[in-house]
Amino acid sequence: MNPFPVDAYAYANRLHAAHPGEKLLFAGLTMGVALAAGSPIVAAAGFALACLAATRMAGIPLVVFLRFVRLPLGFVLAGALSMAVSVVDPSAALASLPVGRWQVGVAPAGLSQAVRVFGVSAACIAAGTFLALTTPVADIGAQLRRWRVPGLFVELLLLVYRFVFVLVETAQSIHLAQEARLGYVTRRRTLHSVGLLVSSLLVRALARADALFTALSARGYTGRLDVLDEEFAWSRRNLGLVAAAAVAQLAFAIATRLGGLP
Amino acid sequence: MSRAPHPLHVHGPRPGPDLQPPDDVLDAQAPHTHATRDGLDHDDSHARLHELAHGTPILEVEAVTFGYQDGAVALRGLSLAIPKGRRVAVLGANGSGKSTLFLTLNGILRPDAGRVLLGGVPVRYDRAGLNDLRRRVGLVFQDPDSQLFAASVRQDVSFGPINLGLTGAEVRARVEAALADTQIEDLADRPTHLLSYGQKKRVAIAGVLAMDPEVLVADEPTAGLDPEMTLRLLSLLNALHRSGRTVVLSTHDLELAYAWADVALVLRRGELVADGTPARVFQDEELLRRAGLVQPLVLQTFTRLEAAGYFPPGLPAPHSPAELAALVLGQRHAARANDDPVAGVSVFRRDA
Repeated sequence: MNPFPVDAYAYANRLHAAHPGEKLLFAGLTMGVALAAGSPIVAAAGFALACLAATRMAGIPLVVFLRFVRLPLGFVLAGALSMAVSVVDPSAALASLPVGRWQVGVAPAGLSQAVRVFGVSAACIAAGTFLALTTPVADIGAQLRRWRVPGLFVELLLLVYRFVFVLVETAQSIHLAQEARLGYVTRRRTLHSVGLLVSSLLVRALARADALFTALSARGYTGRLDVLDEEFAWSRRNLGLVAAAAVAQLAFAIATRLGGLP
Repeated sequence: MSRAPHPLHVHGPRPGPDLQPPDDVLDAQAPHTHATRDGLDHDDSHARLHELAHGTPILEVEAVTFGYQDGAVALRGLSLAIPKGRRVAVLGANGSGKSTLFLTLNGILRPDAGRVLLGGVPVRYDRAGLNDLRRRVGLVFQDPDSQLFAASVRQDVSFGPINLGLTGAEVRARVEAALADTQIEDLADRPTHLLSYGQKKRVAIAGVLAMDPEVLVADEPTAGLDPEMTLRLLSLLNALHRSGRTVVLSTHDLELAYAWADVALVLRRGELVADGTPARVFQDEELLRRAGLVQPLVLQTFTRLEAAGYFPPGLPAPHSPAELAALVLGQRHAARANDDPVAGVSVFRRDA
């Protein structure tokens, strides 16, 4: 059972054989431009481009793409809303309600900040989702290594990825075992059971780390998790598309800035 | 082009989805096997049995004592020898010291007292000595999830050979050969966490095989596998044995140990209590009981029939239901295990 079907797409999409560097560049540049421009309009363009790349280039159904984007976007939305709503001066607010001695409402500055943060986050999430759905983590790690990202960082990334699944499986089986013995029969017992689950997960994680170290040592581990990385060929066409997308977003960002748009 | 490191002969038609054992398992019943088995029957050569159980040792454990930090003493002055090029089954109840012994053989654990010898030379516990030991003695862990760490199968298998300091091309050749030998080429690019338990076991073995060890030590390799996967795994271990490697496994499956192994070692509370051919070791019911083991069913049945005077005395004990049936039917020379629907574990058996 795969609790995170992201992988299924990463290994079976039309871009799976494409050079991971191309996909990383596209995602990275889209995020970079969106963050640097800080403009909701540019961010919207970035979001649309990532969406297009995932659906048109990689052949991932739009519904699927949006489903993966939805959850993190929900978090960002909650954050943005709290940014938009604050204690305001009623004369300058777009709308406000009295709460005790204060007026709580939406001020133009807060609103525009919220829209900007939401937009930029949405573009970054879309770019990240594009990467996650089109590129196996092993290939991302390999490319980061080739780009001389510190080994410790890449190894941690890959180990976390590998053992998230083991952790989830362990948590599921503990939960099941508790459920089978009525561990979740009342709210009180639920709280107790969840506490036990979390603490035994920690203990097991530590034991697993020990076992992993032992097993790696048996294969000659001396502090470096070097593995054979896949070789990919750069595609001129894809690089051209990545460059075109970046230039277009950049031009758009400059145009909005010159035109005085938000 | 570098030499393929493991010249095995397991590449053949892959077993289909039906429950047929792989082809090379069936090869076990090739005619020469018969001749060998007959030879064993007739010359009743104790010398040969002795030679089987006590060949040139590749690994020796001398008076090794090991205690864990919580005070549990796992090995108590244990001495034993792993004969080179043999299939060795290490048996014993839970907590008898099997896993600790295996960790000692690979240098993960260092004996508190006593020593481990590889090819007659005491193991040195400095970096070079340990690297040499771990290159020559490969250890496959019981839980593949504690061994597999990489995101993809090919990457995981490549870890060991890279640690050996081989060049990229050599590593690649080793990895491909190990994937082929374990028949998991089609899994090469799969993410590790999407594999089934049986597949993970194979990947774990491939990861060790890629280091081209002389001795393969596997901790309960068949635990948790279904009968078909068990058969495939044994055929893989047999192929490794045929390619000249020493294969050591621990198991609670006594039928398997009895039918498969050339040598059985029985541990009890960190000490060696029996050592010899399975036929000999499994004869002593009293000893087995003290070690928390029981006789394989074939042998139990044979012993009871023999005690009842059903057979003439001095018959060699059968190794499989098929051999027993043949004895019972009085046609043991006609035993053709592969035609026999009750062949069962007999397909495990493969003469050296």
